[in-house]
Amino acid sequence: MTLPVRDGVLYFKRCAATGEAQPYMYQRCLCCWEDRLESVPASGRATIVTLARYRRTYHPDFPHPHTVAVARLEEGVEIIGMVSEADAGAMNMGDAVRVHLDADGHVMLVPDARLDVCAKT
Amino acid sequence: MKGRAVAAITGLGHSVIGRQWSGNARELAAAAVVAAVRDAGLQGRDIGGLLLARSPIQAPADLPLRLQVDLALKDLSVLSAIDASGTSFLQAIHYAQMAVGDGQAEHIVCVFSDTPLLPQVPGQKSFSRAMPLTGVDGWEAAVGLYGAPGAFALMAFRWMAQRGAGADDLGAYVRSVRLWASLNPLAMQKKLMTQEDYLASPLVVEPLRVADCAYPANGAIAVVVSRAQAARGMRQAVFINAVARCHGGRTEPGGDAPEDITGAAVVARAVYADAGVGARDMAMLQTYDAFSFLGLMALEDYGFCARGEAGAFVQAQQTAPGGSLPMNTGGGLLAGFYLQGATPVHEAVVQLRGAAGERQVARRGPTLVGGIGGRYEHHAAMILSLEEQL
Repeated sequence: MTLPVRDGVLYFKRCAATGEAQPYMYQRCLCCWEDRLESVPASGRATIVTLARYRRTYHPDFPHPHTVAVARLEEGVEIIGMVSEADAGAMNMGDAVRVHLDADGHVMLVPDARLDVCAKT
Repeated sequence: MKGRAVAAITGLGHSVIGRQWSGNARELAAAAVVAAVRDAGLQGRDIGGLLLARSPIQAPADLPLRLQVDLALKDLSVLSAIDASGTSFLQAIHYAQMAVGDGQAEHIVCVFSDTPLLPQVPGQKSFSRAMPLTGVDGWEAAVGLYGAPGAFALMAFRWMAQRGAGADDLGAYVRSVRLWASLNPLAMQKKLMTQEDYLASPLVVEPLRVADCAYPANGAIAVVVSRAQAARGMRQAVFINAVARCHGGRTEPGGDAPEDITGAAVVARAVYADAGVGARDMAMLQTYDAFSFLGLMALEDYGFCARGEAGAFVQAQQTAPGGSLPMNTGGGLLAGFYLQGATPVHEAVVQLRGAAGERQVARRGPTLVGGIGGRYEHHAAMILSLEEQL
């Protein structure tokens, strides 16, 4: 696994020339085709873009119900993360979340209001 | 000249299509090619090219170029394999059209073959791998985003929220293709559904239910693409009036554009412009509906409905038998059989030939055939008709 995480912090890519944040999949800047993309720590603040709630188990490590969401970092890049069962029911598009990297290395998307609870897990 | 075909589909064939094991992908492909060539009234020696449309869930070695040797085809001027997920078959036809138009060959066979249902392996298993969306190896697996339904549910939820679409709209689409499937001897999901039946279908990944997901099948489909001049004298020729592709190269999440700017709209506009027609001129729509909401999206992206109106259009039964826009008239991928981009092409040719039996549409006019691949990063569209010049 090569998640863009170091020391518990999520990183995103930014063009060294234009300063534009770049989707993870690209190896060059979409604007100027520059290949010097720097890795920059993300603030962790994001907005939910969409959700998928599993009602069947596709992998034994992720028994259903299990929720995956796409969130847009405030820096402009979209990521995917998991939403805990406690949060999944009330979560919707446009909700403000924080990216939380739990002890197992999971990328969790946590509602702003519950950040303090999550920090204890 | 706009809409003037340089090529035509002159042969159509398929192997056994079904849930059972009838042979490996290579064997099924060979059977489909032979059927298509014979259907065109040709022999192996008449074939100048072979293009293989590979399924993304099969290893390249499962459908090798050596299929040429299996089929005893000699001295081909065109031989290649194409790998662009659900658009591979349309791509193969596009390359064949260009090659025959360029005089490289008179007749080229394109074949798609897939065996998602292996002995001891149910279809769900074949489609349950983590689907790459972010471009970061392992990210999808790390968050449990396994299976095509999960990746497409993310897309469905977003699209439905943007359009205000709901279960009534998805259910109406499923019911429409079930009606068509009930008239198609090859279809696998013929049971008619009420909206209550639809809502009773178990959720797989919200908002998608079992009834919203394609029904995988083993099988192969082949077409013979011939130079238009050669096709004139051939029975059952269906002309290719326009083809376009768009490899957007972007997926969500992580892409550089919102999901409502799609390559589907790009290719539809391109084929309409190339053929000098519009969506209103299409007699039918045959397109890629591996998940129900993709059918609704296609109606908007291909210009048949304004933004947000596809649900009401389908609820008004406009896509069902007797409606103003017969759509996926064999039951589509959802209720017919899931042979990816080959299913819509097969149905378009059958309908245009007037060979669709009970489900035959009244107007055998220009038909839009659409295809998507991956998670909406590959797109293709084609206009087929009985007229060399539209």
